[in-house]
Amino acid sequence: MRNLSFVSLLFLLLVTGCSSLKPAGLKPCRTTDTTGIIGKSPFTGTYEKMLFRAAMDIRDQRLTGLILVKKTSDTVTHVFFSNEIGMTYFDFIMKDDGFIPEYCFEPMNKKALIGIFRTCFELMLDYNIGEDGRKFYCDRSTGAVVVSGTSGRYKTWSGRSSETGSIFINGKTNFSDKTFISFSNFTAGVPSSVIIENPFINLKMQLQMISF
Amino acid sequence: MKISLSIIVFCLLSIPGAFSQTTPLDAASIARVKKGVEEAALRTSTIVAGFTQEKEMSILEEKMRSTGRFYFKKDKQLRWEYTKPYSYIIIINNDRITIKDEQKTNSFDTRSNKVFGEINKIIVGSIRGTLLNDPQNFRTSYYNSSAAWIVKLVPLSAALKSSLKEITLHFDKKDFSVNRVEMTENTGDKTVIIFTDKKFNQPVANEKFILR
Repeated sequence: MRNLSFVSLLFLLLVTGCSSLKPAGLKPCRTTDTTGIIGKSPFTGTYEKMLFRAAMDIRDQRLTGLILVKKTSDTVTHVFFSNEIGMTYFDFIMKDDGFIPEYCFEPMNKKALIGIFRTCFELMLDYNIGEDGRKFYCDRSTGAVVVSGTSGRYKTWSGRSSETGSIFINGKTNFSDKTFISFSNFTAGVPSSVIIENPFINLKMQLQMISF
Repeated sequence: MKISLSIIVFCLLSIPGAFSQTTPLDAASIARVKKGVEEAALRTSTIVAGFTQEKEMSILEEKMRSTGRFYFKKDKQLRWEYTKPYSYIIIINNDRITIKDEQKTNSFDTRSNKVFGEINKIIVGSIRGTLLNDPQNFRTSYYNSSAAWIVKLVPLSAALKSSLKEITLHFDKKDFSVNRVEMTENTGDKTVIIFTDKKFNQPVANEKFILR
């Protein structure tokens, strides 16, 4: 039984470990032109309040409802998720110096899961790559520039898909919070559709903007 | 002149307080309300109503409002059909919950989803009157207001206590049906559901409680 658990864990690590943050088909490239390079989230520094229609699939569970993102001060942002009937799933507080689960519905109130949500929302809302240590890569077929580096505590890759026009941000602090975010359907630079995925726990969040 | 103005101001200020005032019920009145609710539940085989739902959150100045249609059929069939701001249907058919959002239809057992399991108990329990006789799970207190009999329920079970602080039910003084459900969370955030245009014992097809 212990062997079976070990093999299952190993298999899980292999499967999730194989999903690389680095997009496929890239080669290192030198670029001096940084216009159009995706070095920050489309939401970074742009919003006061955003309301999304949300569907969250975690393994075989599906939670739906509304996600409200609201700045309550210059340094504090609430990420609030409730179902349609109004019951709160979570209320997270993002601060410059940390992440506080103000409330989390008991079955979801697990440190590891909250850590994964932290990565999802910090990358989605605050991703901003520093100039130090960033590296540029070019897509072998389209020439599109992808940048890798660090944003806060995250190792990241970001760029624009030349096929769909969507912006992607891939980031992680460790193998379990490896996160892939895609922003699409832009109006005046603001995406109305966001998809967040974490393959380690089979999490997929689909956010559709209702108001900005 | 000063005195009469003071009296007028005092009277004007007192009016809203007088209307919203609630007084605790004595034992005889509690028995009367319980009996009324039980009898109403016995003579009600179906309910069709409109509803308005408002969510009050400490981090948001304005309320989040949604509206829709509500269907109940004895013993445990319920259909919540949200029409605004977006379409969403929740069907409770005995212990099975089916949720249809814009993308997916999801079905699960109420025992596997604690949130909806508890909400199911509250809504069905308040309509059937069983919630008032559940001392293991709720501590109840009864009040009288000019508009309704008010019953406050404080959850005692650990599962419900972790998310809900209090449930307040407003029963119509004439027919003892539920007019208003208030769910106050531990964070102080509140969801208020108000039922309107209630129709009792009209035929409701079983198909209303099936989603494919």
